[in-house]
Amino acid sequence: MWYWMPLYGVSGGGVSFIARLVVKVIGDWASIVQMRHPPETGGFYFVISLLVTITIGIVAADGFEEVEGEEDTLTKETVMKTMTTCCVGMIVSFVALLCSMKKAYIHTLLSTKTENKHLHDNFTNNEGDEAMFNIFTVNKHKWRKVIGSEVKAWLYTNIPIWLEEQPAWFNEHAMSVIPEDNIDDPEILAHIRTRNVQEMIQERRGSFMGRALMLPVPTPKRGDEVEEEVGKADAEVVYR
Amino acid sequence: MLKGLCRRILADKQMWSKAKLFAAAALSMINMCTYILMMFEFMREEKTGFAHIMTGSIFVNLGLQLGMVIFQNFKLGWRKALTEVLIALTCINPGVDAFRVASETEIVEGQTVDPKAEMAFNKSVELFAEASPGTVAQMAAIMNTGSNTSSNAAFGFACCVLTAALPSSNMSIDWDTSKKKRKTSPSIYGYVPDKEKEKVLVFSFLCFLSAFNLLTRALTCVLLQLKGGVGACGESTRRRASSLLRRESAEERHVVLDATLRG
Repeated sequence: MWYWMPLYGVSGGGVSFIARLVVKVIGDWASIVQMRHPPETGGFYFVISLLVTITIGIVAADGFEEVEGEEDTLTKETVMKTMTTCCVGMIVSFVALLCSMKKAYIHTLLSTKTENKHLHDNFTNNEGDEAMFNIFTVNKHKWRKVIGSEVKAWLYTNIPIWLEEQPAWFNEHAMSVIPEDNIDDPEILAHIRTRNVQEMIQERRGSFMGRALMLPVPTPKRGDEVEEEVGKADAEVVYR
Repeated sequence: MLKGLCRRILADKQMWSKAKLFAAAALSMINMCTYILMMFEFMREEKTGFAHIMTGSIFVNLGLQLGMVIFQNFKLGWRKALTEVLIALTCINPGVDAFRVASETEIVEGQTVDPKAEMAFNKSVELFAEASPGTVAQMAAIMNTGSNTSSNAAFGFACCVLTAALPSSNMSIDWDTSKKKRKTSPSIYGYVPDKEKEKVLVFSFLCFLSAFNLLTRALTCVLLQLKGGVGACGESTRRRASSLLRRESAEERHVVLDATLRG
């Protein structure tokens, strides 16, 4: 039921409903191939939707009856020809697309994988820390129940390493998207909740889109920023 | 000369993406003009039903875009917000969005999303509220007028289909070739080949798929509306199929009877 956006409660439910409706309409009518993603409509549904379009189209054209006595109306033959052209065009362009895309991705168009399973697989297949970290930008309801404990253990082991090695992706924005209830150790929590990070979280709380998309909050260069950086460096020295 | 220009555009990746952006924006603005033109033409011809559908979809589209504009700029003061509202009301939003994305304008402090996300939202709204219902309404009008379809109507219809097909293919290609997305979700992003020629091929097939799908759906909707719903059409097909089966079984009975009589 929940959409991938990390919004909860009534607003989360409302946004999920609207987002699912818009995605379905756009995916069905404009056949955007990106909608084959498990978090949107899924690969199998995408192909089934095309087949259903063709079937209902042919049935509708077959049921068309000419209005007798009127000269300027469309004939059944014209309707059937137009519908057949459209359906054949659809099939040919879909097959041509399959032939021209990378072969390794064809299976994604027949995949019945659900969004939750996709997220769990992405995390457990261990495609690198940065890719695994994306779990925090999606709705908690989608993963906490099944892999919540694994995520906690992974954070507990890796946050000290990231703080020491400081990879480029583990910046203040990344620190701000980690939910507090995923870190049991108060010492680790203190290190990733610097004043800048806390400000970021506060600002995001005041912005609906910021929460929905877990956006990095644009912070202007201020005079006290230097102080912040010095404070952060001190904290790292103490930690080490 | 044209071939040379195309080659140059394809060779320069940035130029190619900018050309795509501006082509889609230009088409979108032309579509809005033809849309309004068709609305007045329907009113003049007293086809009020079609005119109402088109007016409704323009209002929904503009309303959603205005909502986004206000949401995006309300923290920047009324002057900035009013300018953006005027841009949206004059329907030049697609062009301005394309310019901002092409010139890599950064998000300003106080804005909610970056220009790329804003453009994606506006394109989605256009597909949802304008292109899809517009195609159905214009297809219905064309079927209604039969061979007397004006060239304006045919041009407006073609624009509507292209406005849906081009941005949707653009979105597909842009999302799939995004380095960040390919890095964070490699199992899904990456179906578009890396060579420019192959990329153009995929883009064209996506365009065709989208256009034919939209045409099939629009034609189906109009036919179903004429017939009185899916049930009625399904019923007529079922009746035809069963009468065909009855005829076949009657023929079989005749053959058996003939054989018995001869025997």
